[in-house]
Amino acid sequence: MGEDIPSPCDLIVVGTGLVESIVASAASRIGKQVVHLDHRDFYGSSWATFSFNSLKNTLGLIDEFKEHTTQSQKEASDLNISLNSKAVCNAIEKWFILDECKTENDDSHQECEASRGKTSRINWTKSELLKNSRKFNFDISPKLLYSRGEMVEVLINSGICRYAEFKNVSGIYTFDASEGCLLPVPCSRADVFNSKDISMVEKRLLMKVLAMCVDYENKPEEFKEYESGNFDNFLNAHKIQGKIRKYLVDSVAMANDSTNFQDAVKNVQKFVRSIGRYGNTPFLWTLYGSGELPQCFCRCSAVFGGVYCLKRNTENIIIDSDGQAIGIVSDNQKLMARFILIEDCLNPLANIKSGISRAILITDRSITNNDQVAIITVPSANGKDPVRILELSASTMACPPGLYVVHLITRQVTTAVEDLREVIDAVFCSGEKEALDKPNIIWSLHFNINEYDSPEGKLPSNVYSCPGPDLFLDFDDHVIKARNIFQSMYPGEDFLPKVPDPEDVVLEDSSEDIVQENP
Amino acid sequence: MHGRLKVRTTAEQQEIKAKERAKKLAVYKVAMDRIFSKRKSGELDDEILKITGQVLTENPDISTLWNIRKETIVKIKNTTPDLVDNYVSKELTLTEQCIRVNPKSYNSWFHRSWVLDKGSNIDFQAEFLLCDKCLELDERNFHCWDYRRIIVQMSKTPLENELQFSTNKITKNFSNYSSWHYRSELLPRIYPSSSGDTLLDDQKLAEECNLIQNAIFTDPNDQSAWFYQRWLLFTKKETNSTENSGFLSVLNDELESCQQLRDLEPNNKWVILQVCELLRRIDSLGNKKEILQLVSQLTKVDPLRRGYYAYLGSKIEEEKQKKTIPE
Repeated sequence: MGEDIPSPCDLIVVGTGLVESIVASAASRIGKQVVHLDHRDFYGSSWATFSFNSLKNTLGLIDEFKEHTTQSQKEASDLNISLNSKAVCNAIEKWFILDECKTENDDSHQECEASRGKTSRINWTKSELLKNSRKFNFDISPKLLYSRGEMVEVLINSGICRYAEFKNVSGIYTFDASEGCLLPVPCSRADVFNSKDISMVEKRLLMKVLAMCVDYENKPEEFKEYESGNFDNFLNAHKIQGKIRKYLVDSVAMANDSTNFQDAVKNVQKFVRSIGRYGNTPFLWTLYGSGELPQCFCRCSAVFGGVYCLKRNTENIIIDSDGQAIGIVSDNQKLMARFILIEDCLNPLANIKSGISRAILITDRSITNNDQVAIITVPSANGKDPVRILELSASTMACPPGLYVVHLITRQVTTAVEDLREVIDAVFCSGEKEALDKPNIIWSLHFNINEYDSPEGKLPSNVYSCPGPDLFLDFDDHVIKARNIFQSMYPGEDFLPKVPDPEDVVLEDSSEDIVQENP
Repeated sequence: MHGRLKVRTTAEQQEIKAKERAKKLAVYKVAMDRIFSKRKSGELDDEILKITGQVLTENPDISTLWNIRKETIVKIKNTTPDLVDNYVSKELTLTEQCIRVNPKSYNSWFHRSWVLDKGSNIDFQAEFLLCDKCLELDERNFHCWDYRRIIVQMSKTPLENELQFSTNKITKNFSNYSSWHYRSELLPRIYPSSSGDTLLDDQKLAEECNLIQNAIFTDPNDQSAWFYQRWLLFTKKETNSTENSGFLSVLNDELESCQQLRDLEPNNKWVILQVCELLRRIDSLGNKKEILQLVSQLTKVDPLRRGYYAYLGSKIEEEKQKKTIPE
């Protein structure tokens, strides 16, 4: 397989995470020869989506790495690729149901059921779940798309949207700790009008603030005193308290105590402008999981000539005497290129700066009123990072019918188990005795994802480190980063330009056309 | 692999269009000639229905052809009444097609309602479904709303169902004159008031006031909400009757909440206008000073309608004059 890899090429990409895949597709699109490698046997790196069995296998693989036994041709100046990349780590799995059904005998099975009462958790056993492994799609880094965000625009313009399917997020909620219940966040005007949770005056204030934020650029005088401060100041000045403050801060602006005014307003604008494009909420979810997206970009790159190789190690980056990178050593083969991209977890100069705490749960009923996709924000008590809960029903192809997959995401403080314990206990039931009013957990997986810094100026100027997943709810930041990297490599070139309408495209067939053209 | 864009020139496009038009015109002429000649000889039969149907599908607004069809149906009803239902259902199919082409065609909707009368076994479920669909596409299609009123009457549908329908429409989008208007027609018939001077019974009135306040507070710029509130509060069954104290308290509550809104939206002309009108109804004499102040504020905030506010101001002055003339 290795013999088919073109060398020299224009761009070598190491790792098939989202950012590097976007850049690879953009480069291929403008005619650059791209070679895209990944040491793993799947696409997506820390963004991938897995079936039940492959998740377990992979978590093993991500922690370990194939040992190199052969000598690599390494010069002193070369950069070693960090082979023991542990971007996804500390995985802890737990089962809450039986391995097998206790007995196959009809009578005792019925007795079993009767004694436990009729809840749905009893219907599943571990072996049955594993038998249905391929009906599960678990994301390592689940994210939503704003209907008018960068990701959707790139997908539409480039035509890559044809490679995937999407579903509307049907419910947005914030969690009210004092009442222990979910508060639906009104998105559209009709939602505000119909809401029974807020008073008339609150409705007016909420609509007013939203309209102000959307109109921000047109009325700068109204905001002069708030521009350089916190979003909090602005809200206080306009008497926004209580539930509507929660809606705005937790779910619309995605802010916390220290978020500055400008960032918050941008988020509010994105939220409001995205409503109504595809549905009542501003968000879309990718069917079969977020791991579809890096694959879509890789596919686009391949269509335009990119060469793809999984299970391919990369040992070093070869540096010349001027400190520029000239290629890589991969499975002991030298591959030369003008530019090199590596995912940040492979960057030997990068340090772990922070982390994300994650949990994936399988539950037996919905937290909400059977929303198909719901996002719930649980604000933290001390104004720091909230916990976001993403609940997926079977219609998103995340699991077999009757079950739900729940993702929890928050900033890592200690371990995933500790960071998420409080929220999980508040919202779900993990005890022996099944609850009737809370979803019961059938299986859980906790893990962490490392976030890396990218020390400036230490990598050669033609080597770029691509950031992995972060805490943001959506992809836009990463699309912007990918675009920046692309424009730094190829200034002035179009980034994933619009694909011409197929009806307008006529294939050139020189001999016949001349005859046809003359009427 | 290269793609080359091939675009037809404007001249080529126009030529193609002209040819198509000429072809259509020829077909139309032949059809119309045949139709009129048949009518002249009294042949109001299946063939005339067929040809008029073809023409109308392309252009539903030719009234004469619809009327010819009406003549034909009447003839069938008189000569072979058992076959009428069959023809009625064909008319329904044709009008539905035409409505798809032009949902605002007077002729298509009128013909459909005319035809309903002639059949004996109308499936009103289907009629309501058609209405629902049309209203979903265009909430303000008055043809469709009128048609709905007709089928409600014909099918003797309980008005409560229709009230629920209007509630559903408003829940989805409260910014719609037609939905509120429909509601205003239904409510007095379902919840008539026991006393002489209000339109609705007290409890229902309170509920509706609450509902419309939600709309007004959510969007004070939405006219349809204000007009509905005016209907709720200011329409009296009998004129010249004095306000009863119960209703006065309703007006005062509304005034309070309007003032609350005014604090939040001091420059919104609708709010100021409503406060004005409420003050007038409550005590036009006692509140005169304040009312006139508001009117002058309105002239500043909404200068395009200063003529109306001037008229309003003079009317209020007159009221004072009238009341001071000794009986």
